Amino acid sequence: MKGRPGLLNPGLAVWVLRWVALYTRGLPEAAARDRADEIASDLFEHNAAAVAAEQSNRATTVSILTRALTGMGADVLWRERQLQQEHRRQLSAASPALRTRYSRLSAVAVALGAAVAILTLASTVRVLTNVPTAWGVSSFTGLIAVTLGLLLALLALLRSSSRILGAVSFAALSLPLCLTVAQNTMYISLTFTQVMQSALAPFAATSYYLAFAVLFIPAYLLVAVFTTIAVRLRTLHRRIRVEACTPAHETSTLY
Amino acid sequence: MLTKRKLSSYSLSMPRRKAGVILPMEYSILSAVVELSASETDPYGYTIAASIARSDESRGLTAHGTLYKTLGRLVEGGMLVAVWEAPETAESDGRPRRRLYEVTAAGARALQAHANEKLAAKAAFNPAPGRLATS
Repeated sequence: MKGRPGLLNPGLAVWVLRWVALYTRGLPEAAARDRADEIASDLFEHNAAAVAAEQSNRATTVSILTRALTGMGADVLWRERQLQQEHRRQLSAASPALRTRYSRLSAVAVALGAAVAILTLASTVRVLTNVPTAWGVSSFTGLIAVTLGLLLALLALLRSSSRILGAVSFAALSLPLCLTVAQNTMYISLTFTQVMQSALAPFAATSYYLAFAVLFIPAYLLVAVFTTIAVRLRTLHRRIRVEACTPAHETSTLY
Repeated sequence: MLTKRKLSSYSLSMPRRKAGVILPMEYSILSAVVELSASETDPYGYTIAASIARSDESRGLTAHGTLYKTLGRLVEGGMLVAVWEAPETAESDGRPRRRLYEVTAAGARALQAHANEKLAAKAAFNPAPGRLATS
């Protein structure tokens, strides 16, 4: 519905429809079209009812804007559900071998992500309980931010529609995680600090930078693992999508 | 034996709650569709929102996202059927086409069950005055 002459506020209608276009992007065509047509009809009817009731332009604008803004959360949840349903539909149409590969990779990603997030959370709790209260929480903002980021990444990893984003987030947070853990090692575990210091001592004797590089080996490994997971998940997603759109007798010739 | 078909990741129709149980917003929408049909008014998005607002004056018009998400869920759950009206009808009236809703038998049953539950709950919280303790 483009700026019709009868609309009390055509700019607002265009804005609402832009929002609809944004949250329906990437969804199955039928679902996206149905939602856009339904909102266009709603805006038109709302406007027509306001004109018939001789409602002021301002009151109509406020009413439409309120309906659009307060429904944004539901719009995002609806989008998420549509994506999940589409993914499940595609997955159920994929070959058993591909489904098994996808399930195994997802299980590995979730298990690894959960292990990293839980260890980080436990470390953060230890740091916060072991430092003097006078220092305040602000001294550990970095560690708290990384922990929250990892927990959000774990949530993304648990959902099939955002699993790739979750794996990428884990890869991106691995270096900050290693840095903040290294900065707070003595508040996490003194034994661990001693083991780490004795392991790094030979490298530190050669070069401070070499010791620093060795210290970050776990971070490089995590970046490599989660990046590989993200790339493989993306490849499997593409193959699942192709299989879902291809008749069964043609899939054998694809690979 | 648990098969991959039984796992939620592979099933499109995995029920999230007991069949026939509806939420308050779903009850409002189903009631509005029944009322609109009874008054021979076309039940579509805006008229449903307006009907809900009329029946509960403390509420404004239902938000777009909430309304259409719930309508979609009721259609998926088999409690409503949705049909797009003919494009010619909309064109002749000079407006966008409407998606018309109708309550199914399952929807009517769920509506009745929810209404009965509400009545039972109301009766439980309104004891007869003669039965109140006086001592």
